[in-house]
Amino acid sequence: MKQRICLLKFEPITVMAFVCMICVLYVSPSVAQEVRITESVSIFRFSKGGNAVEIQRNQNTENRLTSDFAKTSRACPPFCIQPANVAPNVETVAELEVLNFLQSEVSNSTGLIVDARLPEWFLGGSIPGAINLPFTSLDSTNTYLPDILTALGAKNTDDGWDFSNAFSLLIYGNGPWSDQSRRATLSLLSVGYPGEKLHHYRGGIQGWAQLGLTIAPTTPAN
Amino acid sequence: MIRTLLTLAGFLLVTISLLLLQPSRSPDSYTVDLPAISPPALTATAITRENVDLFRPVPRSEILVDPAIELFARNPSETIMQTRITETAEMAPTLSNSKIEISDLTQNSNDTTVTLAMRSDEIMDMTTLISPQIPIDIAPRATVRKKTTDIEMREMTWGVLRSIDQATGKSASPGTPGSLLHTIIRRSLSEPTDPASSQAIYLQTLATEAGAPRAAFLKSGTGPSQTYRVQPGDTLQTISIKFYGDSTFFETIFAANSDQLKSPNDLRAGQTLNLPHL
Repeated sequence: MKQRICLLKFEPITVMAFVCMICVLYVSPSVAQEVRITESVSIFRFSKGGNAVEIQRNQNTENRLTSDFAKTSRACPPFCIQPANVAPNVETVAELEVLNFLQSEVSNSTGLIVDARLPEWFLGGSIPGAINLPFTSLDSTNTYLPDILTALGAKNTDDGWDFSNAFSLLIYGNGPWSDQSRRATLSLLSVGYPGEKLHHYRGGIQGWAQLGLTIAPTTPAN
Repeated sequence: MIRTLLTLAGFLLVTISLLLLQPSRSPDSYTVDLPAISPPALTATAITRENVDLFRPVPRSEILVDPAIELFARNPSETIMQTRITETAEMAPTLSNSKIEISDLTQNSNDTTVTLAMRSDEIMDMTTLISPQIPIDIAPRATVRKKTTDIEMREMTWGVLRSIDQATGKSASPGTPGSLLHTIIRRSLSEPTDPASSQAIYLQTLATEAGAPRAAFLKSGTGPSQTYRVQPGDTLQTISIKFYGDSTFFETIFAANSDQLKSPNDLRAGQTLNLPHL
């Protein structure tokens, strides 16, 4: 009996330790990646110019958009609902295709993700790895358009532009309510950019943000 | 045994009461306690500059400093924007050049509308109703707007080329089309040669927007170099827009303040930045 009391004296500590252990075991799964991109992918990694870039989803399951992207009713015009397809030969893609494009094209330097919004918006955050090519700069009125096309890998020949070595472009804008990515795509098509090299992410930065995917703050060039 | 049960019961009671009584978070609180300047937090929570700005009330003092530019920096939207400012009485005395024009016009006309040409392709007009009773109108000259747009386009192209070069890690040979040098040369060649050069018009436009101090500051080499005390909500881009009229000069500001800024995101309210002449 005396020994039993002795055992009981230690029991509170034992019980507390046990409860604590249960708590830890209960909490630990939520520390792991709970919100995955797909069933098999939790964090998407790719390298761009030697820099590793990570894309994942916001892990807070209670997170809600409270920013501009939560707006439902922007005035139309000018913010009108855009069609799914820009042109017959331009592929319209969604988030997983964007990730695939990053993996297969951007990390191999054969493709570029193009943010067609104005620079101020681009600076506010973009899809990781994107470059800013404002739709206005692709307008035919821009006298420097040839410079941009050359930088995109096109060659100006006697017979016109040769796009055989040009980058594949995945173009996005603000979202389905904004025509910026569509205008950029149409401008590129009008100067002869082959539609097969163009992809259109209609969801845009809003679709991206809606899924809690990583938005890169734009870092300046060093 | 009883002591054990009591301890356990007490522990559970405290735990449960803590769980139940913990302060509940409203769904909006995530954005409410966002730090105004904290880029690492921006990464973590995927918050963009827009929503940080949206949820940060603009102190009136900031508006009074430079209404047009502040509003421009805060609304880099792609459409026409209209801003109604009702505190006429308080604003009028603090307005610099452009606003003096406004008040002059106020006396002359009772029923006109102020339209300031903004420096952006898409932001064409900002209708500022200084007073609900007395709307004013400064009609922008079409030529000024056109020239500004051209300059904007060049700046934008330059930014695009730099962005592509940076992304691809390769740039065209210097001087060939597609290179920055080529673009710069073409830019200088296409500058109008008449006295009213586009640069002058550009500065003039800025002067109209922001008042004389900034325009004087923009002319390189005149006057003492300027300092600026960082306000909550500022970014290098907004400061750059405020003083140079263009966000691209944030790198210049960063370079001039590299002693106190480890990175462009390292901006804290209360810091005093040196603003170099261009």
